[in-house]
Amino acid sequence: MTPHLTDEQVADYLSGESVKTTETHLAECAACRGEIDRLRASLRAFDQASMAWSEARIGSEPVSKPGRVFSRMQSGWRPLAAGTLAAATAIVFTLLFTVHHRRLSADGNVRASNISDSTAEIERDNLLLRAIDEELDSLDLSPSKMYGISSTGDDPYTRRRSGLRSTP
Amino acid sequence: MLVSTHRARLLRLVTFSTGDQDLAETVVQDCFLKAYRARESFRGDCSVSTWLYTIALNVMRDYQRLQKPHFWKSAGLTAVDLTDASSALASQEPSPETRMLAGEQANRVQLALKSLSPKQRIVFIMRFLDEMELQEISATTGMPLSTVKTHIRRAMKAVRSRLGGAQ
Repeated sequence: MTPHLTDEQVADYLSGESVKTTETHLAECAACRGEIDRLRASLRAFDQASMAWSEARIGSEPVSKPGRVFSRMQSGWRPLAAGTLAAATAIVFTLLFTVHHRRLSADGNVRASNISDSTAEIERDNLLLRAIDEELDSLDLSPSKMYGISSTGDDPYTRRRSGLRSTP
Repeated sequence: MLVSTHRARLLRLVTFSTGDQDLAETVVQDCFLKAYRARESFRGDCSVSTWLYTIALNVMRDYQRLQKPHFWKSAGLTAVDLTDASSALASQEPSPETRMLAGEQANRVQLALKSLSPKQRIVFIMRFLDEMELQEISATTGMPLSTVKTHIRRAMKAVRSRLGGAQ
């Protein structure tokens, strides 16, 4: 029997580069056949395990995970995507508001009360401001008078006190 | 379809040749981006797989130039945990003992890869895992055929030695 296969012969045989002497030896040497089978089994095990690992790794990635490459790819259309999102949000809110407003409009009392409430509220505000003015005048708490400063009539305190709300 | 078919194999090649899982994912993404941009230039004179592998190796060279001291991480290969992946063999192996043996064999080959040079790892994976022809490996890597054979012999010798079978 010829000597056992060398590393080179084993590598060549597993690489498909077999020569006749190698095959002849394998036909008559159980040890070398066993060695070849063991190597093949190890390679197959590593092939299957590493492929399973790789597929699992890909499967576990978030769909929208932006890597460095994706960051570069997205830079061109990111503003467009943001604008589209903002527009979609605005449309949704507009639709929700419209539906809600129509529901209120179906009830005429609700709509009328909204308008009258607004006008009445302004009138109440003006009455309150006038009452405050009168109260302050009666107390004579003007800073110019308190600190002996002559008032020209257009100081911010005076202007602010005259600012009543106007009805629409 | 192109991505789903080849991505796992590319990720495996880059991960187990560089030893860096995160870098491998970036390289693979870059590879597909370059392939998409260069799709018009693909003439069909080689397989899509070979074309993608060539692009991936070029991307790896680019990254290697940028971060050479840290690129090839032989120690990082231990970071790839094949234990869970071995459980995926459950449907293919008949008994728990056989599954456990297959898991041990896979881990030993992985450890053996640590002792190989980066080029030996690439050639080893292409030949014995992806079953590429020697001529195809030569065309993909740009190495002469004789160099590819030399790498395969040295890689197999190292792996065989690590597996405890060298005579």
